[in-house]
Amino acid sequence: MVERVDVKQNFVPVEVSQLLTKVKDLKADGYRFGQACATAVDDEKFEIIYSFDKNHQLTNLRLVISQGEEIESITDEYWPAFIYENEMHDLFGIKFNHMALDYQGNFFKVSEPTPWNPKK
Amino acid sequence: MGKKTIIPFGPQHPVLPEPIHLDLVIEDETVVEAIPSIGFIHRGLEKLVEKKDYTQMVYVIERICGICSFGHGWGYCASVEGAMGVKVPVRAEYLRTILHELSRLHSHLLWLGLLADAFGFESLFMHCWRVRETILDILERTTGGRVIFSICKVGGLRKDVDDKTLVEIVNILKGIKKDIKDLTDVFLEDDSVKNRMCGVGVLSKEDAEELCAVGPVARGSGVIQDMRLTDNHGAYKYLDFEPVIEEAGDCYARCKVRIREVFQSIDLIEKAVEKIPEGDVSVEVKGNVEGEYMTRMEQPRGEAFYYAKGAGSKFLQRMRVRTPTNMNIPALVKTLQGCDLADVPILVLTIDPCISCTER
Amino acid sequence: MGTFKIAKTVLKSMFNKPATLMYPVVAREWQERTRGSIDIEVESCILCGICSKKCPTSAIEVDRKGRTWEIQRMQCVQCGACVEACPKDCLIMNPQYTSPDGEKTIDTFDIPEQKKPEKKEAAPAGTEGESKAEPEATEEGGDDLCCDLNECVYCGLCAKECPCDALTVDRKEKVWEVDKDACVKCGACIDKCPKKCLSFGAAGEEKDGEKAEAGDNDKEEKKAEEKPARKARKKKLPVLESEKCIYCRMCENVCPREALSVEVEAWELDEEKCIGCGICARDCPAEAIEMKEAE
Repeated sequence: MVERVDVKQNFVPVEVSQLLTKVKDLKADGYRFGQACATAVDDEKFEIIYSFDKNHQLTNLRLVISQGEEIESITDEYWPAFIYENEMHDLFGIKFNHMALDYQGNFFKVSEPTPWNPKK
Repeated sequence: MGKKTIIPFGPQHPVLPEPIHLDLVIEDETVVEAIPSIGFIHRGLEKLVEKKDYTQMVYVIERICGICSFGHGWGYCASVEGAMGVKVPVRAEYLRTILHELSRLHSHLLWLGLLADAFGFESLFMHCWRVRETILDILERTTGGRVIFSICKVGGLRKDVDDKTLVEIVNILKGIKKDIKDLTDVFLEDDSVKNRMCGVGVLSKEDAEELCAVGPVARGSGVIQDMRLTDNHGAYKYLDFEPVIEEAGDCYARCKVRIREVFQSIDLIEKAVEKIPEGDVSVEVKGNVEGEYMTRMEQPRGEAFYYAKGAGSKFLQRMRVRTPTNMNIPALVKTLQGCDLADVPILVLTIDPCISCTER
Repeated sequence: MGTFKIAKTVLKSMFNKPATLMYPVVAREWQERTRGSIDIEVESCILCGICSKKCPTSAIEVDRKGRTWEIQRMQCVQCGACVEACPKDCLIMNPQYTSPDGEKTIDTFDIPEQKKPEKKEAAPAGTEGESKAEPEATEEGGDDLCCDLNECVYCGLCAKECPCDALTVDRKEKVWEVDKDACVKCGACIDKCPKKCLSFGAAGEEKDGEKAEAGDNDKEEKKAEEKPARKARKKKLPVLESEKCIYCRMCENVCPREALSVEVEAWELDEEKCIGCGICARDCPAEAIEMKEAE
């Protein structure tokens, strides 16, 4: 009999500088990477949510960055994150450093660069 | 040590149902590396939340995928309901569960057909789709659409399905159970089929966890992971649900997981119809969306994320859908390394890729 | 273990009826719920345009001036949102699919003028024959949305319900206004009004005398007239019979002003917030609430 889980909403704010340490901790804890997505909160700010799953419980890291700020890629810890980082790069124009697999803006074939960035 | 050659595979290829491109680096007949590339059909549906209000958006989100459209509609509604604090009536949760399992049935039967097609078993392919037609008829009768159901809305369901129809559905499913059994026996016992699948593309449990695989791919490798085990949506908590787990991790195991899930879905529907309570199927939803909510749904292909964020207007600020194939592409790339070139189509198919979902 | 496992299925299907239909010789039978295409009953359409607003694909276009209703058949996704939204139930989901076509078709329907008995009485010179010749006159005639301000409690439910945001209700200022250009006369507010003080033209009849004198700039004057009359009436407040109450919180939920708070064994009324609309009394399943005049 497998245990049933009541999933709570769990959003943890995290600073840009702490992101990698936090992700490393989660990885060591046995968490599975779920997804990452960006939201254009306003013209200046982006919010990135990283989701991690362990035994069906969900932990979301909320990272707020400003336009043009560069962040470290988490692909060293979680290789499958390359899809999401390339997606955010192509659609929002958020720059990630040290991506394990960098498509250089050619992951999605978009007719104009960074279509979802409010400042294009 | 042979010479390395790069073979471009897709986005247009006779065995590929979906537009994914793989650069296959091969040595002799063995694949040593595969580089995936998607993005041929990016539609930007997530961005449409800024133009369509949250009640209209259901119809857009459903059209992300033609196979798991009910799950997408449900996932979207569940996330908006969560953000608004709406509690859906129990009967609606049961009906959503029944419809979701029906769409899992038709998705898995479709996939079995495609798999048969990939290893060249045309008659098996046609018989799988013949049986699937019965499920589509049921869905058309209950929801009005064969693949796009448009029955989910924020706050419940748009139409009730009466108890008489539900009993008839169960009888129809009982009737086709034997048909399905005959067909799945071919997959599980026929030597020519087993030769193509047993021991091919093994994904170990460690790799599946490391590469964050989801759905039948993860369960085929022995990872216990099924979003139907979460209590936040659906009637699964009342139905003694147990996930289907296979340990081997090869194509045969992934196929077996899906076959067992077909029968499990029929059982779940039978149980749900027995237990379904009377009552309303929807509650009135008023006001604007404020707040955020992250929810997950077990689609036929695996775990899908739905994240809704509203800022107090009738338009959402962000709607995020992360589909299962997104998470299975890394696993696919890994299993492709070291496989035979001739096995590539089968390997691509056993993750049940839905690239249109992935790009939205 | 096994070879040619499929033989059984293949043999069976050899002797069974084919699974496919001889289409188009044998037509496909559609289910009752099949969402095929949208039909319109032109007689009852009031050109309100709610369908076009609700349509997620912008397939429907309503031209109120030209009295036409258009649907782009290839754009329509048969979601049925318009059928559900139509206040007059004049849109129908037809189980028959639109036939395939080489080019994108647009179906246009002409909406005939609606004949209303009130029109004759309200519009002074209008007869049935003439009203057709002078559509302008009927548009601005006496079937506009009216509110009997003697009865109105300014609860604002009508404004909330209005699909076109044509109504402005300000409780403090005791203002009830309708934007005649925006109002599509769908009647949604009339159904929702707890005091049944809204009507098409009926109130106009009562105030015919005033209207003729006051002319266009009557809004301000009317307000001045109604205000004292409204003040003179005593406010009615809900009173609970606690033996009957089952504490279901229905009243709390329906109250448009959030004046009620209900916990088990505790029912509280905020008299400041209460506007005496009586919705709580109307909707109480246990009939435990009665409206009584305030002291």
